[in-house]
Parts: sequence; C-alpha cells; structure tokens
Amino acid sequence: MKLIKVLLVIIISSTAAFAQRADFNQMKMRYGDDILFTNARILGLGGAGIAGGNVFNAASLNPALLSAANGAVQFQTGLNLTKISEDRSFPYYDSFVGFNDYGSYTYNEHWYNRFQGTVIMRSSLSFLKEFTFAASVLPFKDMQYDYKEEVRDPVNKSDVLLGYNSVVQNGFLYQTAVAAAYEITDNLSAGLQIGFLSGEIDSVMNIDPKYTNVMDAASREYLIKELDGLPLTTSVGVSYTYNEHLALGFSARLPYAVAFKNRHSSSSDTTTFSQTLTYPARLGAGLEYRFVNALAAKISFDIVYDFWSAFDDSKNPTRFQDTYTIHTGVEHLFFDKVPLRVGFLFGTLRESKDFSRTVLTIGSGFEVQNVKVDIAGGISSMQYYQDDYFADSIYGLGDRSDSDRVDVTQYFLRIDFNYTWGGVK
Amino acid sequence: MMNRKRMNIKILIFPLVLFALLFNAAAQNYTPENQLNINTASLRQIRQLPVSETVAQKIYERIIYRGYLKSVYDLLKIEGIDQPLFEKIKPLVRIEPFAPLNTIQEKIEQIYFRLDRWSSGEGINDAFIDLWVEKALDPMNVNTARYDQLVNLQNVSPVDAAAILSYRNEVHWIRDQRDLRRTPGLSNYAYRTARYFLDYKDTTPSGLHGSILTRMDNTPFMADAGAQTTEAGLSAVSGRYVSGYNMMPNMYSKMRLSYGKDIKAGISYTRNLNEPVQYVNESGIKIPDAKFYIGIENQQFGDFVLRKLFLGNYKVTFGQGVIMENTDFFTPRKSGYGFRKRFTGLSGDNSRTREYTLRGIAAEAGYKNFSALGFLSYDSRDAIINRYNYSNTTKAGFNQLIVLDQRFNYALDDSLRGANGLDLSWLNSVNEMTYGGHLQYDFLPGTFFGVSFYESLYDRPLDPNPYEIAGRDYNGVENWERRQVTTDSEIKQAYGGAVARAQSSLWSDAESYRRVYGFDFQSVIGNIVLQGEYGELQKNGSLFKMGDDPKAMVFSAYFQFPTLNVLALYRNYDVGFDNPYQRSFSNNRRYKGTIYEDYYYLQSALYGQLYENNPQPQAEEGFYLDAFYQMNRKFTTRFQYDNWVRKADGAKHYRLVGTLDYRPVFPLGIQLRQKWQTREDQNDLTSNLYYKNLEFRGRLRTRLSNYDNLDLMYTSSKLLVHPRPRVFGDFVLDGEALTANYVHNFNKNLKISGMLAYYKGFLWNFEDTQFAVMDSPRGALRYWLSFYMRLDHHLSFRMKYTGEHQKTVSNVLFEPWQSTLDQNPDKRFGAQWLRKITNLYYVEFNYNF
Repeated sequence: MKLIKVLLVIIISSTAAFAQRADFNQMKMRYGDDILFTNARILGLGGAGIAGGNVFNAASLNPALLSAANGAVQFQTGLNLTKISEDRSFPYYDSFVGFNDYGSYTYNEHWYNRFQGTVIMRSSLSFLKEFTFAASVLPFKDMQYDYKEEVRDPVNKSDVLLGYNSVVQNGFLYQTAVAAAYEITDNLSAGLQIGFLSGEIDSVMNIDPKYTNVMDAASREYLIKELDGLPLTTSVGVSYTYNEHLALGFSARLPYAVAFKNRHSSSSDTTTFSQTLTYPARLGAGLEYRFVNALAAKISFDIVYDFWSAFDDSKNPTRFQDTYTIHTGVEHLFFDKVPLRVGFLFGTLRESKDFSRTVLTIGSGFEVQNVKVDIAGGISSMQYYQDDYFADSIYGLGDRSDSDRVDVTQYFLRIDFNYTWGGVK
Repeated sequence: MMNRKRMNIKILIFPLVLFALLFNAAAQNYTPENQLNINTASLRQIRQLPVSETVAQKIYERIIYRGYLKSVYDLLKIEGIDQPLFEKIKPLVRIEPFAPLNTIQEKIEQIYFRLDRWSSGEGINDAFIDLWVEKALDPMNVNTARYDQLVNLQNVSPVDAAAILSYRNEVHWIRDQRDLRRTPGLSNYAYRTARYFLDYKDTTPSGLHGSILTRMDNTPFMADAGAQTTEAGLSAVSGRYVSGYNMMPNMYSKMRLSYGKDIKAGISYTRNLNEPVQYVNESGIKIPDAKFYIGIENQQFGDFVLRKLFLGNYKVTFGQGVIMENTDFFTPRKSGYGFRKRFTGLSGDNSRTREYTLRGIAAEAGYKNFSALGFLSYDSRDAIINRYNYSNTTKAGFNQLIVLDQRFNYALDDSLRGANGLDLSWLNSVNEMTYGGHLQYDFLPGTFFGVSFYESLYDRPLDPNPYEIAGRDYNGVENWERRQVTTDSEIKQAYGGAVARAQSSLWSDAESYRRVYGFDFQSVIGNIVLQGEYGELQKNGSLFKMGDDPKAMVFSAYFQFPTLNVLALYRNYDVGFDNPYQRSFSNNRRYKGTIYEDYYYLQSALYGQLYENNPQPQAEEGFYLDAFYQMNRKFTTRFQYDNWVRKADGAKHYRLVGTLDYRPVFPLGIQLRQKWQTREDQNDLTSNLYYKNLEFRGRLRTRLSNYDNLDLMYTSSKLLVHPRPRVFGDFVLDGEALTANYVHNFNKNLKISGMLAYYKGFLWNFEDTQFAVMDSPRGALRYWLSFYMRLDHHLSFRMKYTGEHQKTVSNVLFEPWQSTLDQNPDKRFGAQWLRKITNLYYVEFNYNF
C-alpha cells in the first residue's frame, strides 16, 4: 500500500504547495515541457525569432514568417539533442549536529535526441503567388525523465547496498502541422498553422532491493498514457516590416486539449482512467532590428506570455501561475556567410512566479550555394529543493527530515541542414 | 468656352509632362559626368547601374547594414562584383565624405573602450561612474570649472585640480589640450584621463542625454557570505517561517538623464539573488521599490551659486568619510587617492546601496569662498528588532542596523521573530530621519577648512543588547555569556541605551538619536596635499569640547612628483565611535574576530551579516604608507605598508605589499607582487587569533595587435591560522592558481574574451567586468567566456558564461557519539560524494545617448 502511495505521489496526484519547494521533475512528467528551440538558429538566438530572421521559425514561432520564403521549395531537417544531468544531495552534519554541507547521493545524466523536418513551398501560380505553404513535423512537448538511485545504509556505518530505486518515463509529443501565410502587402503578412499531436508516454517505477532483510520492499509499477483522440493546435501570426532595419511580429497559440487514456498496473492490480489536460493560450510579440554595423549586427527580442493560470487537469486540480519569457539574441555575420549568434532566455516558471529559468546560447553555421548548415548549443541550470524522492523508510530506515537539493543542468545542441530549390523571390 | 477647353488640356498635359520628366530622371543612365553618390543612393537608384537585381540588392544592403563605403574599391568586396563588373561601375559612382556623426556619437566612438571598462564599476561607485560617463559625453569647460568639479574626475588628485586652477588664473584661458598639457604640476596620469572630460569653451547644452543600463546575473555572494547563503538555503527548506524561496537572479537597472548641462534625473532598481520583490505599496498598485532623484546644478545668482539641489535619493560624503558617507559597501584602504578615490560632496544616488540610503532633499551652495552642503532625509532601515519592549515604553527597541544580502521578511531560521512568532520583520523596521550639513571656507583652491554635523533620529529606542543576537547553546546557556572575547568590547560599546533616548521637536515619533560632528581640512602646497578629519560621536560630552566623547580621526599627507607619489596616512578610531555612516580608511571590518562571525553562536545564522556586511571600519589606530615610483620607462614599483593596532584587544597587525612591473618592450609586461600580512602572535588578550598570510602573484602580459592581449598569471599563497578553541591546533591553508586570459577584438564592435584557470585555496581575480572571490579547498577548474558587442554607437550588449568544476570527493563521514545518532535519526552524518559544478551567467545592456 505504501509503495502505491509513493507512485501516486510521483506520477499521478496533484501537488499544489510551491512556497518553498518545487517538483519540477514531477511536473515535467505529468504535463511536459514545451520544446522552445526547434531549430539551431532559434537556439542560437535564445529562442527569439517571432519577428523574422528565418523562414523556418514559422513552424514554431509565427506562421506569418512563411512569407519570407525565398525559394520555390525549402527544406530543413535537423537533429535535436538534449542532455540532462541531475544531481541530488542532502545536508549532512558534523559530530556536533552542525550543518556541514550538501552531499550528493545520486547523479543521473542522459542524452535525448529527436529528429525534425519542415518543408516550405511557394507557388508560382499567379492566383497563389501571395501564398506560402508549409508542412512540418517537430518535437512539441518533452515528458521524458530518467532517474535511478542506489541506496546504501547510511546509519549503521556498514555501507551495505540496500537496493536500487528508479523512475523512468519515455514520452515525447510530436506536432505535425500544416501552415499557410498570406502576403497582404509588401510589408505585412499573416499566417495560420493547424497541427495535431501524436505520441505515447510510458512510465515505470521500480524498487529493487538487494539486501536480504529488505527484499519484501520489492515493487514494480507501470503507467501507460495513450492519446485519446487527435489533439489539435492552432496558431496565428502577423509579420510586419517597418523599414529596412525594423521588423515586428506577433503570434498567438490558442488553448488546446490533450486527452489521455491511462493504464496503471502493478503486481497486484491494474486500473484505467481518463485524463484531459487543457493547455493554455500563448501570446508572443517580437522585434528584429538590424543595425548599421561592420559585422551586420542584428538583435532579436521576443516576449512571450503563457496563461498558465488557465491550465486544467481533469484528474487533479493543479494551480499554475501565468509566465512570461524574454528571449534575446544577437547575430553577427562574418564574411557575409558565417553567422555568430549569442542568445539569452529568461522566464518565470508556471509553478511560481518567483521561480525563474535562464538559458545561455551560442550558435554559428555556414552556407555553400543552396545548402545552409546551422549549429547551436545552450546551457541552463537550476537548483531547487524537493522531498526525498524515495523515502528511506522503504528500507526500514528513518526518513530524513531535510529536503534534497536538486541541481539540474540542461545542455541543448541543434544541428540543421537547410536546402533551397528554385529561384529567388 | 474655348478658353476653358484649353485650360482643361493644359491641366491634363501638365502632369503628363511632369511624370515624363520624373520618369526620365529616374531612368537616367549614370555617366562619369553624372555619377551616383552611392552611399546615399536608394535601391531604385542603384538598380539603374549596370548590375543585376541581386547585386544591386547586395550593394544596397552592404551600405545600409554595414555602413558607408569608405572607398569605391569596397565594392569589390561585395559578393557578385568581379573585376570586369567593378570597372564598369567604377566610373559611374562616387564616394562622398560621410555624413558627420552627432556630438554624442563622436564622443562615444572616442571613449567606447572606457565605457566598456567603467561598466565594471557600476553599482558601487555610481556617483563616479555616472559623472564620468556624463562628462565624457558632454565635457565641461575647464575655464569655468570649480575645484570640487575637477577633483572628482578620474585620476585627478587635489594637486592636479589645484594645478589646473592655478594655471588658469595665470594664463586666464586654457585654449586647448596642448595648453592643458603644459599645466605645471599636472601629472601625466591626470592629464591623460582629464582630457576626455574637459572642453575649452562653453558649448551649447546638448539637450536630453543619458544612459540606461540593465544587468542580470546569478553570481553568488562572495567568500564567507557564500557560506551564509548555503545556510540560508538550508533554512529555507527546513524552516516553517519562510516567506518564499525562489530562483531569481541579481538584477540591477538604472536610467540616468541629463537635460542640458544642469538638470539631472535618475531611477534605479536593485534586486539580489533569490530574494522576493519588495514593493512600495502592497495594497494598491504594486510598484517595485526603486530609487530615484531629480536635481539641478550650477545656478548662478550673482556671487551666490546653487551648486546642486537634489530631491529623492542622494549620496553625501563629507571630507575623509569619518562622519558621513552613505554607502552599503566597504572598501578597504579607502584613502581617497588613485583607485581608492572618494566622491566628495553631493550626487544623485543610482547605486546598489539599499540600507544606508538618504531620501529627501539636499543642496550644496557657494558664496564667494564659502560653501555649504545641507540635507534632510527620511527613510526606513533594516534592523534586528529586540523581542521585548524597551524599558517603560510600548515599543521594542532595535538592536543593530543590518545590511542584508537577501531581503527576506524574516531571518529564515529565527522562528521566534518569524511570522508565526512575534512577527518582528527586520525589513524597514526602523524609520530614520537624518539631517546634517557641512560648512566650508576655501582659502585657496584646494585649501579649505570645514565643519560637519549630522543627527539621526529613530522611531524606535536604540538598544544594542547582544543577548538578542547571540543565542543559547543546547544546554540553554547563553552563548554571549560564555563565548564573548576581548574583541567583543566593540559590541559592548555599541552606541545606544539610555544615552540615545531622545525627544525631538522636529519629529514627534523620535525615540532615540545619534549625533556626530567634527571638522576637516585640506591644504595643497605645491605638490603636497595635507588632509585631515576629526569626528566625535556625542554621548555624554559637550558639543563644544573636543575629546570628551568617542572620537575618530584621519590625517594624511600626499606628495606628488612626475614619477613618484607618496601617501602617508594616520588614523585613530575609538572603540565607542559607533557611527554607521563612517567609511573612512580602514583595513579590517568592524567586527572581525568577534562572536558575530561565528554563526553557530547566533540566534540566526543570518545575523552573521552584522559581521560580514558591515561597511563600518573597526576601531583601529595605524599608519599607512603607499608609494608609487616609476624608475624608468621599463620599471615601475609600488610599495604599500600598513601597521595598525586593533583597539578592542590591542593586537598589532601589519600588511606589506610590494609590486614590481617590468616592461622590457612595450608589448610585454611582467608583474611580480608579494604580500606579507600578519597579526602578532603574542597578544595577551586574544592570543588565539594569530594568523599569517603570504601571497605571491606573477603575471605575464603580452599586448598583441589590435588591442588583443594574452595574460598569464601564477599565484601561490599560504595562510597560517591559529583558530579559535573550538578547533584544536594550527592549520595551514595553501593556495595555488594558474590562469590564462585572452582578449580578442574583431573590431571596435565585437570583443570576445575568456579565461581558463585552475586554482586551489583562496583566489581573487578580475574576470572581465566582475571582481571574483573564490575559495576551493579541494581545487577547481574555472573558465569563462564573454562577448561584448557594440551593436551601434549607442547600444552595447555583454553576455558572459562562467563555469566551475570543483574536484569531487567521495565518502565523507563524521562519526558522532552513538547517542547523537540515536537522538537524530532524521539526520545524516556523511555523504557519498561532494560534487559541485557551478554555471554562472551575466547579461548586460547599456544604452548611452
């Protein structure tokens, strides 16, 4: 019974108290994290690009940017790599029960990779010449988590291996979308994108005792979440070029619902239940300014507002707060072909407006005739406090009264290949 | 009727002809006689050249995005233009001189590298930085500048300022830079810097200009304060009285505005790592608690000059900082010279100071040889509140003013004062009204005598009871009774109690007061400056009798020669001179060595900030000698010697630093620096505080072309400590570091710099614009990469990443008594790994206009 309770805490039940502690890993498993950096250029610029810069930004940031296509057919594919390291530590004390430091007891490090692709078409037919179309398959929501810990007896000084605990969740939602943009005037375009989500999520929690006296603690539980229906996403956007230096962009993503059929099973029983997650709307505005600069400097600045307070989980009431995210990136161009990009993202988190996230990014690339290769990397780290993930009492020890300190570092790497067929617009 | 028809035809024909003419003009072919001024051409005009649409676009974009072509041959660098095409275009186009930059842009281009460097001083030395940036972009006329204006410029000493004024009196008008250079007695350093701030005629006021800065970073607090932060983090997760724990970065934003030369305004906002936002109004519209000011300067009414008038937040400094200098930051050895320069007088306050702020009205005026500065401030202070009402009053007294790293509502681990306890928040817990002034008579430029005075009134009794700070041990015994040492006499003599009780006709809420007064003087005699300041804190003595109250004094003599500067300084501060606004020369902080630095004896670990963050000098008496000598073009030496006695326990200290700079050829510099510092080992009163510190630094600096440089550094240090009785036996901390630093300028617009370092032990270093203090007992690899981008004349962007990997250690274990283990089943006394990886960022936008 106790073990089921553990699982419920980890995967299913609601957590509403964020005053001091956070459960970012659990929130990610339940509701996912949006993939912000869908191509290398966006990553290099800290996630900015609503106002312009690259036609492939259209698929994730602003569909109106499709109008900037400069070839009959343009194609992009890329590799989306993410590494996550998580270090969990607890406070340990000296012989006088004085706080000494935080000591690490488990360290998990994993690479995740996903492919993506976008194709953009601009028709030469006269009645369609103001239109540009695109189809894309992009990673949309990341729900993966991989955690393992080794438990040794810390009290009796024997250092006996008691067992292994783990939670592994595989799960990624992809978005397959079609989009169209209409060039209203030379300076003004509008776009619409409709997409559907696909994917499956499965989790397994395992308690694997290795010491004779605690073998009864063994447990293995599964949770499989299948999409129920076809979740649709809708985005609209506007792009406006004020002059040669300044471009503006606005975008909105409408609320969307994702329904799951969940199946939870353990050694003793299997239960099924439905769950609908209603994700909130997103508004974004951005500008791109090209300076007069020997290295052709360009700055991109976006601000994105997510109405997370409107989020709803039909199974577990969850309170989130609205978030804002600022993306800033600067691009220089060497030899007219080799960009140098640096970017910065700062945003509040849905769990609390007092939590924030920062990402630093850098990117470059090169161009050979119709082929363009972009590459970018980024780093983000955060530290938060959370209760012991697997209570020590599972193995008959006293539970710790102190929370864990969790240090999470994320590394992002994107490599894109872009190819353009056809003439210049 | 006929006429009407003709008229109609004319009306039709006229626009057709006009259109034809315009069309002709647009479609004209450029010739060697009718060349196209390509730098100002429109895309339509460029298309008229014999180039393809693509090339026309590229030419146009080259000009509007990368700037004007400097020569017609720049066309050859544009993709798509080969030699034959170039020869075809060349006779058809011309390059005319550029459109001139405006004055501010020109100035920015001249001093852009200084703006880059000054940004590192932002926050602490804002009064200086603001003034320097402002005067660099909008210089003042050296022929009308006053002494007090000149002496606040970078690298300008009192000798230099007096020399300029003396020379000006002699020649009546300094015409240009060459005249300035000829000024007898003006040092080369002063000239080389001052020329950027000075003009030689009255220039037209330049309208609205200023700067905007916004900065964000997650750099933790320095050294020991970092340990406190760990404690705070622990408290945050285990305490029930936390108002919120978050992961917000340090944030500092400010805007400075000038209208013309004499109207100033500013607004700034500071928030430190992880702290909650403090608002001005919680019930209505929430406005983050920002600082602001508006001021007017240099208004002449006959002989009377209103030098400055400020409303809002301002900074005030008198003399040598013995009596008044309102900053939260401690600067060791603040002599007033060189890098330890002190901004004197009044300025708007855009700094990161949050505790010792002054808010109200302040003015500085001059009449012939008299000048006066007066101010009135009403502002709140963070202070630790006692848990009981002061005798015979209905109010709890405040114990100590405190400079907080993180402004949480409550000390995280002091449950008694927490929201569910006595609810004694330390934020804005005392209101303080402070007023004061400085009156000065100038005998000659740079030679003056002045008197200073200030009084602070508080709306709570001032009751510095140490039992309210120090806690009890696990047996319930007061730590203050058991643990205090001789040096804690500084705490015992903290000002307050009955002597501080007050009533005031100015402010009916006043419950206590503090009054400090004194005098200062300065005389410039040729190349010698004599300075001094004397102050007393009124306790029971008379206002007009010297020496009957706790006192403090600083006297110095400064000699300036072309290749030699010598500063000799004496200071003497009484233990009872408890003046929270004192920032005069000091080598240790006030509470060093006392119970306040031992967090485990305190009621809250965060009360350790009384020691860690206190900007007030400790009671000390000492003599300081600083000499800089340039032997020849290749050798420069510097010598600093300080010998002082800590008043609280009579312990003697000395510190000696010798530096040798050798530059055999211009691009190569070798610097050797050695420091010896110790406290006497045989001291009857506090013999257990002995320490000795040796530090060597060797640097090799190579200056490459285009201002690129490579800097290698090796340091080695040794700290020998005889610790407090809690830990037995001496211990020696060895430190060693090797760093390599490289700066590469792609051009004036893009600079990339980085560092790779290995260090073990304690290390301080300049990292790009940040001053970093590090400590790694196990050894660490540290690196950073910084991008500095000037996007255009006005806007710059800086982004820096710092990573640090501390050496990992495994299997750390304490072995307490079994009874301790049994009593604490929820605690752990060991860890499998000590692992620490740090990722830091720093982002800054700077806009000057």
